[in-house]
Amino acid sequence: MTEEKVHNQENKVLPMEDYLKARQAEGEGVSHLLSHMRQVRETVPVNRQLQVELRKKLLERQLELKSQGSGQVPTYPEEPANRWKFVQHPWVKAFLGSVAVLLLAFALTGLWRHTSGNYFLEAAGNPQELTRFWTEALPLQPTISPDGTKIVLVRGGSLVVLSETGVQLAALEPPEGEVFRSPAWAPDGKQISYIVSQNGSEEIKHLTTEELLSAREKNFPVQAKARVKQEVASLEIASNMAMSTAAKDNTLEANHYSNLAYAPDGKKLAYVVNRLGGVPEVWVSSQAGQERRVIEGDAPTWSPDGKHLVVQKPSRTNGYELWLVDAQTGDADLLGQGENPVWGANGYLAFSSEKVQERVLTFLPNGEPQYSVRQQVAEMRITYLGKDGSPALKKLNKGIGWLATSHLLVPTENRISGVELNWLRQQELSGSREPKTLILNEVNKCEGQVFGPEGKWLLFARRDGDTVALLKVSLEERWEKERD
Amino acid sequence: MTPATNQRHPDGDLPFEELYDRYFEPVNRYLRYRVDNTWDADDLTTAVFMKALENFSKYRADGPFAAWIFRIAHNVYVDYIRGKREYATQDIILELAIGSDDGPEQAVLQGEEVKKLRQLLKDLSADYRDVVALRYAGDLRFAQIAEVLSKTESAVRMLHHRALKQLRQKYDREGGSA
Repeated sequence: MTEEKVHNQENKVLPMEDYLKARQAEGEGVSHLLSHMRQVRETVPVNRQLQVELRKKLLERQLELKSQGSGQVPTYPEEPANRWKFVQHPWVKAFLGSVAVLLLAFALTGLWRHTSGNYFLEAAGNPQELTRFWTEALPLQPTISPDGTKIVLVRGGSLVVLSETGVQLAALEPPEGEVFRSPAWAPDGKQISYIVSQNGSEEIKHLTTEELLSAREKNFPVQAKARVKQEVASLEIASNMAMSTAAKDNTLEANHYSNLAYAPDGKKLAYVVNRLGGVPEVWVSSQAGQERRVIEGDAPTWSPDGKHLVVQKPSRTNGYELWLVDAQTGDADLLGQGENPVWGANGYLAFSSEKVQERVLTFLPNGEPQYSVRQQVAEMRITYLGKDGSPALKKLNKGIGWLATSHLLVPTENRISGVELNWLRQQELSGSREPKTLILNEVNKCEGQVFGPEGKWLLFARRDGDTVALLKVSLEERWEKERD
Repeated sequence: MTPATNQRHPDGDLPFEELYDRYFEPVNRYLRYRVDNTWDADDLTTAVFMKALENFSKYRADGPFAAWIFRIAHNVYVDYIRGKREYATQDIILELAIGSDDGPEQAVLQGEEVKKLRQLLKDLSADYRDVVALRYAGDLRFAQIAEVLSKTESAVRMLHHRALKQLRQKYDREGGSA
């Protein structure tokens, strides 16, 4: 019973009736909870087959041990030696107790917290769905305004502006035959950069935030295109680097651009160039209009110090791996398995990781799995890279595995799908009780993750069959004791 | 030499086989509850009893066997989790557990509410999770949990109280229909 509930604001005692009501309500809550928790225990089955087999194995082992003379018959411990009896003396006990308290205080205040634990970012609650769309070939590619109040994403080749709660505010439709892709909000919040694709040629364009937001009222669409360049030209970054460079002279045929990413200072723009038949390359264009290839790779994300990038490359085995790259020299260090990285201003790197998951839907009475589903799924993980990636490299050099340095941020979604329920129904109707596994090819993919301001939340998209959901998960930093 | 009878726990007079029969169920259930991968949980159960057998002479019988076997189980679990962090590429999830006569579809639907609570339990901090798991999956008493975790009984009671409080808040927030 909390104090607040039995006292009013003036600290006067509430009437007994109110007290009893509050107490009863809380008591009921606890008893329901406890009953649920017991239910949890009861629904965990015991493997009876293992119980029988292990018993046999243990008996055999027991015989072996006996024959080796190691004495499996319990040998009861001897009484403590007499020399320790002085410890029982009250004065000695008090002295030893105070020494122990002192030592404990030193250990607790000095070493324990700082040497045996780590801070990490974790999800505060479950992801909240902001909105949901029909799945398209193009991913949502969301980008967040620096103040966190607006989201821009790609739908049907248009740029759509949403509020932070998922309400549509504006939409910028492309001229006929063109498609908009890969929007990126500049760190100063004044403009959005994006890629325009038309008949196989592509270029990077920029647009003021005001123009984008007024797109609906002004019926912005097509006509405004020519104006855009002029207005953007007044902006800091656009003035020098903008259209002059990569896309320069516009329209590099057979070049495919994607994944625009502004450096935290807004003076550099990283992007991916994919040539026909080639491998994707990460390029950086600077404010001075220089444009340079950094490394082969995809999905670049900037470090908070603006000197490094994390990029993804296809792994030799399967899936993708993440590399830490010096943006100036292109020198790269392998981090580990993962894809779709995003490096927040607070030094945390979120990435998705795919794996094959087998879920047991039902068990046989003897505890063996009956019906299972096998599917490739994605989970979101997070690790601390600091301002320049050095904390992760130190851990890797110490031999700590990449996944061991990261924490699970958003687990795979484990709800039962309609397909699975239908399958179970079929099994039931067929009367078959034989163990079976349903193999699903769909990937519940996480993509387009992007941090909100100060890394307080993370936005990401999750494909789920015919629809794709835009989800937001709040984040909080937590300290974890290392378990020894 | 036999220790003084007034300090000896009755479990100390039982043969290993009988203790195994008595504690297989809580240990297997505890590990299946804590480890998502059921096959791994069963392997860990095997490892726990193998270790227990080989070290049975070290069981001093000055306390219940439950505390001793669960200390082994808990250590085995912690070792497993440490190793798994590095190699978490594949896993098998205990979606829910059913041993009833209901049809599979019905059983799956019934498990949804329980699953929600299990997810909330996973969100608790490590200390809270340990206490709640030993209490509700292992069915241990507070004094036994204190022995397993090398804490005082009052500290365990406090952790349990706080864990339930936090769990209740999260459960209410998530809209549990208890």
